[in-house]
Amino acid sequence: MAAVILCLTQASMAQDEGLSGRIQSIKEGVLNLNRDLSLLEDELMYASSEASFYLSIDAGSPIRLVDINLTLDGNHIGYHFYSEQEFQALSQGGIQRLYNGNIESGRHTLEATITGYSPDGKDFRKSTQYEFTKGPAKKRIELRVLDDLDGQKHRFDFREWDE
Amino acid sequence: MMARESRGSAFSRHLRGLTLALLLPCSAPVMGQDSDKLVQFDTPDQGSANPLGREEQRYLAFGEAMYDYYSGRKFNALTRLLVNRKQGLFGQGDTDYAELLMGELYLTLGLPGKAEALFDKLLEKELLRQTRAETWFQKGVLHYEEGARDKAIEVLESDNVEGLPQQLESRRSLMLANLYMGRKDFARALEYLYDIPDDTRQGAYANYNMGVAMIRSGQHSKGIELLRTVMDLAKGDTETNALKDRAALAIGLTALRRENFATARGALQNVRADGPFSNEALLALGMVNYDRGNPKKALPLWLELVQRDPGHKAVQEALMLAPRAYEDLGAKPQSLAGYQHAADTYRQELRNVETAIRQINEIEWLEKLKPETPPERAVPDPMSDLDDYTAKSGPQMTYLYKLFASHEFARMFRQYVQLDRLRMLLGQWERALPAMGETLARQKSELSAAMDPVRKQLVTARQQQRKLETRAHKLVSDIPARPSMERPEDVAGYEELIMWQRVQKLEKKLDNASGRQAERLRRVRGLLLWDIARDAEQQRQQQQRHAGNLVEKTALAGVRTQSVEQLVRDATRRVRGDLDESFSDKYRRLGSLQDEVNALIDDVKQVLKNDALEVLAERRQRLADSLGQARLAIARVQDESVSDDRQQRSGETTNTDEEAETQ
Repeated sequence: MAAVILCLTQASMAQDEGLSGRIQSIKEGVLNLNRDLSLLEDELMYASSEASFYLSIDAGSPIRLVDINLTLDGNHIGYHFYSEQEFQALSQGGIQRLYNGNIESGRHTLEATITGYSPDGKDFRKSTQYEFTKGPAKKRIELRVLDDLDGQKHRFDFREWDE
Repeated sequence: MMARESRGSAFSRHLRGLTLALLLPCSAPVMGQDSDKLVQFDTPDQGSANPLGREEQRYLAFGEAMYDYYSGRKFNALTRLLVNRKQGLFGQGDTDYAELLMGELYLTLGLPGKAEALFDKLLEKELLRQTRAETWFQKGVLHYEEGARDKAIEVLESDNVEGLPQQLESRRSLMLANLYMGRKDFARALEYLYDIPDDTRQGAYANYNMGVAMIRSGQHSKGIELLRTVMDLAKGDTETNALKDRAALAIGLTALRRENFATARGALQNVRADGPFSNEALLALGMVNYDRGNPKKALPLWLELVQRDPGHKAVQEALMLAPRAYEDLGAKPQSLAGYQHAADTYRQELRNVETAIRQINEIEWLEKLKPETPPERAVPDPMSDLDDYTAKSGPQMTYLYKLFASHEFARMFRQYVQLDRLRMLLGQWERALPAMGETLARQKSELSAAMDPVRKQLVTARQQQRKLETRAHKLVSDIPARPSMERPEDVAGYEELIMWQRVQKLEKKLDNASGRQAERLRRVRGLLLWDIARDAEQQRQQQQRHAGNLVEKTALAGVRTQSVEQLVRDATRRVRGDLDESFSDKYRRLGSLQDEVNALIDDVKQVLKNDALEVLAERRQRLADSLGQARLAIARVQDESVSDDRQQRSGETTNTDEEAETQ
């Protein structure tokens, strides 16, 4: 009897192992396909006319972002409202891609309006503009919200790259 | 004079011509200031672009992955990291932390083999102390989750994990406490437990688990002491309060088993009446009173309980206990009615269990357990955390709580939900791929038609732009730095220039004139020259500024021409490229994966269904046993009533005989 039970248990474990192996293999397959499709989509949708705008904040910043509104040459191109988790993600070193799309070459003005709470709990709304030239390369612009410890305030800073 | 004139007019024509030519392609809208801004922060920045090097590319790519990771979109984070690796962003430079994160994500998705390979590869490298400690820690987690207790302890207690951040240090202690609890080495488990603050959720769960484990191994007083720390926690959220109730119940049941009625009663009274463990608490409180020989005090508690959901195990037990208490109190009719009510309820519950078994076979009951998808997100992240199962409806749900509480079911159900979400993701790609294919076909046909004319126009535009750029540069170099009144027309303003030209014409006309007219003209000329000379410095600066702008604008036109040239190269690659083949490959892989996922989901569902049927069969057996007991009790009470009647009747007869004899 004990031998029968042992055999049954082993068979059940083998079946479970088989199922686990199949699950792992399929998960890996989906993961790789998802990766390849993301790359394909990127190749298809975005050529050298691509521009991406990012947002980051100082790690552990005492401010709290509520939302951000983004315009390019006066046209609205993005809005994001931050959940607590998303804000934590930013303050732990995450960088958010606010916009990704194709834009015309030439001079452009990017404007970001941020609302939030300052370290002393007061709400604020601040805007900043940035002028840049889109050339033949893909454009990457990062808007950084930096702490200004001396003034107990924060400031905006832009970084721009051509890929 | 003629030479001066021609130079001056050429200069002005040049300036106007360039301005007109450049205004056309560069008419970017000018930004106005928003009126509703509370603060205009800084003046507009004007940036200069740097080339995006590998480090910057990694910085942005890893930052995005971190954002997804900490925002709870772990599958996205893992996909991003895989995309980055495919693009060659890993392997060189400071990418250790990204690889560590990738390993952790593999582990979360249930791919321990991939995770371990990554960790081992990382550990062969020179790492920062903290990264090395975290990599070893993740290896420990991997062994822990695989149930390799000894290996997990070996890794998590080794020097390799020294230097972990505080948050991971608490997790390490918790895992080690659980591992030693599993070995029944409570002394070691307690050592690690002290490292976890009691007032955290982790600490509370650890204390609870430890308390229960100690009681099971016979160390009652220490176990109860630990459970008390949980029971006495301040009120918190739903989960904390439920854990407090559970601790109080565990203390009460332990004390009851040891016939320590006062302690049991005190603990059970801490269980909230509206909490998830109130049924068990009422049952146990009744038992405390009953075992103390006070069925009268037990009865109201059980009578309250029998009015609750009859699917609950505690309620089903109370159905037999309440009439038993009546019986002990000598209330036979109430007792009989109680047993009959119990039998009826068990019979009804048996019918419900049968229905539940049928429904498990017929209906997609697992669908009801899945967490609801927020409407804003089409496909939930396959790796996002699962909440407790929410039983929305259906008779089977009441009976499956035991199943839901099992670790094995939770593990398999998690696999089921992940696979289901992966299937949704594949479905989303299945819908998107035709649109992408159409986009490619349209792009190809439109680009093929447009390419030749665009190339021709581009050659012309390039030539024009170069000419204009050369002219603009020449113009800048032709403007003398300092204004000179040798050529007043070069430094005159617009109105002054017109006046100056008129004066010159009149001078020519009145070349031979003399007297008053010539004198007046000479005075006007003098005044005009005075005005021109006065504004000359300002005019020259303005001219230099305009000329500088023209250089910038011609350069910008050059940038735009280059952009179009790049787009033409992109388009050529697109038209001639092998994206079609790539699409076919993806279609094939997608179709095959969808078939595999569907088959696998069916198999996983079958495993879960078998588990559920097993639980329901066990419930059916228990209900059948209870029904048998209820029927026996009814028969017993009825028998006792009949014999009591007989005794009473025979007692009455004896009394009558005695009375008759007396009379």
